[in-house]
Amino acid sequence: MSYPELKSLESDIATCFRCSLCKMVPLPVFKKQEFSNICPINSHYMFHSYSASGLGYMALALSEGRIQADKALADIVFSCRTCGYCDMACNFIMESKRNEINMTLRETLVCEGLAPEEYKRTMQNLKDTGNPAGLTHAKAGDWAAGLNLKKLPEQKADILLYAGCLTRYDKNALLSARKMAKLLLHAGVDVGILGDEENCCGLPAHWMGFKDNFTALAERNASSFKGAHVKTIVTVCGACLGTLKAKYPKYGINTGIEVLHGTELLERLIEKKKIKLTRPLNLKVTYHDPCYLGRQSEPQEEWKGEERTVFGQMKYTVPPRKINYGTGGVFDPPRAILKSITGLSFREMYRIREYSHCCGGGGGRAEMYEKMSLEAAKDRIKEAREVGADYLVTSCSHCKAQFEKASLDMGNDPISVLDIIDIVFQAADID
Amino acid sequence: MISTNILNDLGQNNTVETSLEKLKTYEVRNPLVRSSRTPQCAIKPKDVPELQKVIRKAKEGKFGLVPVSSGGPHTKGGISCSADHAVVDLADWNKIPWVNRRNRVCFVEPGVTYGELNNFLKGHGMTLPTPLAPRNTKSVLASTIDREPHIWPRMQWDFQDPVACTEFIYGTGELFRSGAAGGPGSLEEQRKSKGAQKMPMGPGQTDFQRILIGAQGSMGIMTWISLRTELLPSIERPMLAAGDKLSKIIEYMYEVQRPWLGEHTFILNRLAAAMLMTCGNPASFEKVRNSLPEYICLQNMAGFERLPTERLEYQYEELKNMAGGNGLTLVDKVGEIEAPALLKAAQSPCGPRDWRHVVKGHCLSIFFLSLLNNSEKYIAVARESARAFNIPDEQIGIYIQPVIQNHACHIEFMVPFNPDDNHEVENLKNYEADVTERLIKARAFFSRPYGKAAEMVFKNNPGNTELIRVIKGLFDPENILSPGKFNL
Amino acid sequence: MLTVDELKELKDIVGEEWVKDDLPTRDAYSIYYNSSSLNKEDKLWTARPAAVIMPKTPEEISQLTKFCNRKDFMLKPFSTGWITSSAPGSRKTILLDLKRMDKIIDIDVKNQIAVVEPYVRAIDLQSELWKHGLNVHAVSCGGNHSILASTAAAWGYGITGASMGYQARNMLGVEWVMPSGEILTLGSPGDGAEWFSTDGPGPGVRGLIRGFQGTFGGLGTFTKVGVKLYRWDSDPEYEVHGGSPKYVLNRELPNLGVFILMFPSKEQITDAGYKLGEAECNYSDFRMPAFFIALGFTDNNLELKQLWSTGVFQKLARYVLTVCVHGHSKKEYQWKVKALKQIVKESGGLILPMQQIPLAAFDIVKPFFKMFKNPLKLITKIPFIQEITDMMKTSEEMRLKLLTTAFFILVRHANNSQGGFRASSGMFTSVGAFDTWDMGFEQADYIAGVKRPAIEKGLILDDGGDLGSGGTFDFGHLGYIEGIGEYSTNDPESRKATKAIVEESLHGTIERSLGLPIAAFGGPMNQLFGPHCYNYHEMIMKIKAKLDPNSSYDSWTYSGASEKAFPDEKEGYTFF
Repeated sequence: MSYPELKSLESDIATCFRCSLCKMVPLPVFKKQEFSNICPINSHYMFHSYSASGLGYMALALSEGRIQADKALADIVFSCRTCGYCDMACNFIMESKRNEINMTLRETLVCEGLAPEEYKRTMQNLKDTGNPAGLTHAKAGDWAAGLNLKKLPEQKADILLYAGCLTRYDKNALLSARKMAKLLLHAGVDVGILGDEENCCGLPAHWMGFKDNFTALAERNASSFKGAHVKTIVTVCGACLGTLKAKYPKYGINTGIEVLHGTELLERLIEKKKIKLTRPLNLKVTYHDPCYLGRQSEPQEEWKGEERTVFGQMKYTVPPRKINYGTGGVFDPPRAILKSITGLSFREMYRIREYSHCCGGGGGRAEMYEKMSLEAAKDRIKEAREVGADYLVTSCSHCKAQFEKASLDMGNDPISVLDIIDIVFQAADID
Repeated sequence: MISTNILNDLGQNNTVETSLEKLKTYEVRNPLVRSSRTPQCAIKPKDVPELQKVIRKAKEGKFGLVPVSSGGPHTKGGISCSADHAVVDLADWNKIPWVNRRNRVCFVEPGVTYGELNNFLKGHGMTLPTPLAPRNTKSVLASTIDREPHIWPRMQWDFQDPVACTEFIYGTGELFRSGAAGGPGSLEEQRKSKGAQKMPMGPGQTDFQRILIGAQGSMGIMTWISLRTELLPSIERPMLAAGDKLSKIIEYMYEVQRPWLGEHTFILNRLAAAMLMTCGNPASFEKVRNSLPEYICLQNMAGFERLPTERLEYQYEELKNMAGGNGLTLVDKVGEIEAPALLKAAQSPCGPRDWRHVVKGHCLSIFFLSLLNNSEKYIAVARESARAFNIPDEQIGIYIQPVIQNHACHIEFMVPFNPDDNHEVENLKNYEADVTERLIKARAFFSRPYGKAAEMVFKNNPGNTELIRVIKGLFDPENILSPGKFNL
Repeated sequence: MLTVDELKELKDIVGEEWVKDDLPTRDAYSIYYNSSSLNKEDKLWTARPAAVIMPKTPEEISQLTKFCNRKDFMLKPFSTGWITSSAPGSRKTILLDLKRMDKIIDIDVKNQIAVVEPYVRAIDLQSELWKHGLNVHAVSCGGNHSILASTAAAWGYGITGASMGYQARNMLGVEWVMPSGEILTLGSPGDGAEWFSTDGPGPGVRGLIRGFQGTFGGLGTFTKVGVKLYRWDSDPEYEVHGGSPKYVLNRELPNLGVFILMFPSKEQITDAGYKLGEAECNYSDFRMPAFFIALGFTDNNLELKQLWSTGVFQKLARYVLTVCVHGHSKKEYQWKVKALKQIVKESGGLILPMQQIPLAAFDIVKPFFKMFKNPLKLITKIPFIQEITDMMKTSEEMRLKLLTTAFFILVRHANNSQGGFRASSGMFTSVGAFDTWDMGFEQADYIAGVKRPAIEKGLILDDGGDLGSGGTFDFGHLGYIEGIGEYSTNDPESRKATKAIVEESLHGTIERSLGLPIAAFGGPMNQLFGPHCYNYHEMIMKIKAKLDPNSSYDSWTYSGASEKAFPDEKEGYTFF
């Protein structure tokens, strides 16, 4: 069996020399052994196969026909949470394609029909209901009932507020989305929603390796976004932001519309004093950078140029190819917001920004790998505790749900998990 | 018995001593050590090939060989042997074949003494750290390959220092060179490539000189070693810190040693200090001892070739403050002891006899390694045991020497005794057995075991002892070298 | 192939989840750094291990060892696993990945000793130690290597060697699961004392298990090691700003400075190296070859091409020594800096200002540099040139950026030296014997000559030839330089040329008496060098036979391919 997509990545795989930096924080920012490992699957399963390096070697083995595409391989490959840290870590020392290798391997196994049954069900749900969980108890636009938001495209607005499917169906998360809407309305923002026409962003299809399903969904969404004639799309959920902003273009789908996360817009509104954070909040908080709001939301620029060789064996590109370090994600707005709240004590964890630790909730059907994925979240909660935080703040519905689940599971040392919107809403004192 | 044929054969090119009077000088002069056999002959090989021949003949004649490099009197027991044996006396091999200032290295043959070496090195602007006042005839090679501590702890990075490379002969008669000297190429060829036989490990995945170090002649016979030498201070300011509380001096020592401030340093109690300072003038012993507080610490400071005065100045300031911070004062003189005199005594050969032996004719020395902050614990152990044998505290000399940059510490208890007093000898034998056992129980590490310790320590870690036996089987399969050593 | 019963036996020892024998996992353990050097078909793959096991305790390893004493399998332990020396030498090899053994067991702050398990990385330990004013020697590949490996089992070269020595000499006791399965602790802890010595009582039996190189897992598993620590008199931690890949220190660290010293000739840089050591000025030092400096000056290979093509670096930065000065106190720091400056001056060198020079500037000075064979020699003769250079001012941020780069290389080992791969895709090393600082440069010159024909044919990267990297140890008592080269991992001709260079250098070091190369370990290498070095290889074979009569450990990295290995696994290789 030949796998041309993997074949084309063989030379990139071969650049890995097994330094294992894909498993840990970049050395310059290392603080503490206990909170130095990052790769959720490697931290749990430990074996090298559960790492970007190991996945690469297995991809090479598959491409060269040393191993077969089988369940043993699939069990390892689909456990990856696709947090994308390994890509950033490897790029720290060399130009690499770790994320692309991981995703291509995953997509190859999907094509071979080796995706777990649960994944296939999720895809069916997406197709049937527009959300991965297959929920039908409410319509997509119900979360905004009573808010009097404009309905796009029937009405016109500058901004499309995109709730995301987890947000709009989760009873806690939808409250945050509602607060977001209220904040925007309070600030006089011209905002609308797609209502019942809002679809899943497609991230579940992407991170589970169903490339075709993902692109189909993305194309459909792109079409409805374009049809809404807005200037900007604002996502409530961090995961949606990364998908719309970075993954759509990566798969050739461009809307031409600015995509922002809610925190980015809120920061602007606070700066312009359209939202005033007048109410002091005596909270000790730390902030968790969601993978898809952070490093994974950095757009990958398509490089067009020429590769040349000089000095015998030195390759260089004209123009130089931009390397994705993950630093172009949304990191500063949430911090700026939190720091601007009177009385709030903000402290950083050890694994932050582009080297943030994954909550374990991504990658598709986390419940299939419950022990590992919850361990990732618990590790993060411990880190939050370690820096003295009483509240773990995040800005992604997936992360929030994951931390809440993990916190409950931790028994006597739970932590309060908050969406940053809830805090802003409270500090703005508008309700 | 060694056959006459063999003796005659060896006598053709080598000196072979057989007179009992001469052979008696190779006996261990220590009534506390289990009596050993007088060697049947002493062979002074002409050169390395002859030494190899001696080993081959020993295999043929089935007798043991005990290498000796220092001149007598021999008192520790390292050369004692209970089997038929000949002494291989290398004390006459006393050349310093090569010295190199740029790489701070020199070569010595086994018979080179500290006095000879340091006089020689002085001309090259260098010095070799010495043990505390070695005997005049103490071989540098014998001392260093026995891990004998020296008084300049910050210059010792590892227990193998200052030994760099070695040449030795296995019990099989085969020659080996360790470290960088091991090759490829001859010493001269290596030097042409700017090597200087400085790297102690190797060749490759071996570090066999480690095995000979501490083996008391049981694993091989060394024919030369290269040594890492140090720059000779261009200016020095030795000072003293003294007091009755050891804990203060120890804390001070930690503070100074951690950043490698100062130079030569050690701690003596008043008995040991008086013994050392009066070994050339025993009549003044009591006067000196009575003038001293309980403990005295030498603290040398120095400048070398680079900005010496300024170096000394900042170091003095720091050390003075560290002393003050620990309730001590750095002074030039304590009682009858002046700091320069103590430094000089510590670095110089002490005379024909060990300085420990001068006061009463002999001295029981019990020494081991531990951590500096365990010193007081072990002093208490030694004293508690001593009380059971009616040995008063003030008759126990104490020498505390940080080693390997103060990551470990040599602790030595000295009880001077009259070797002709049978009662005292018997009492000390019992004391030695008792205190050694107590110290072992209290986790003292007898890294270089002699006397009772040599009989006891190899029971502590049977796996290690078994491994030593395995190595003995590889290095000296026919048990020619120092047979019976460590009961191997 | 392990049978079902054998697998069950292994799982019973360590727990089911810690034994893997599926093909994908085994292939994930069949590639290492430069592992094509072992592959006869020039592929990356090493032998595929029979299984991979992650034990947690010495007792488990002991039982696994006993299993291999009874069965036709061998163990091969590794800790962080990186270099090809971690690879299985046989399809009958069961790898022990020691990642689960990651505890810092003890830090004795007062006596400056740590006791660690195999998977404690240098940066794990260093970060804890700095809080206590202590530091640990790390090897130059980066802070992500295992401290136990560098201390007990592999190599021990590192940039802080100037003040912290060669790591093998920092071993203060070791716990060892012997090939018999017996757990033995050597040195003081074996006798019940604290961890402060590996030598004694009596003979230093550690000489069997650790030389210049270790046994690389060929003679049992080391499960704990005592490590000698060193002082750290600066901040317990530091903060950075910026993002990947350029994290920048927020501020300078107290009592710490880095200096880039340039010299016109080999004689002058070596003189200075010795003098700096004698004055104990150098907390760490690193001879950084010109090409690496050019690499560090640039953000991408296009810039590197432009810069290197000016020819300025080849002449200006041929002999550069980067030095970290660290004082116990401000006074000591000041004395050391003063001494350093004096040494540089009398050695005819120049301290480079902490200035980021715009790339365009190199084009401007290019003609001047072309005119003269050794322009730096002329520059250093300009009266008051150092004083003039010292007056050059730069912005705080720029200074911090350069300081950070040097700090991460010289002190924190956080640069990850494989950043040097950017120029090509692979790096090989050669020579690298340990003895004197002078000999290091002889090796660098020699290997530069060996590389030259391949450079001229375009088979390896034209780095100017001399990519000798290394530094001094024990304050100038020892020195070392290894001969690096860059090649393309994806070009078979480049790989072939690399192999040929390394092979030639092995023979060349014998002919030239340049010491035992860094790669001189394992069966074929020991067979090659042993006859020139008093047959040490024969003693290694005897040791292996005596201690591991049942070949319970895969010894390709030590005494040679094990008895149990398949015939095709007993052939030679060239390790690079």
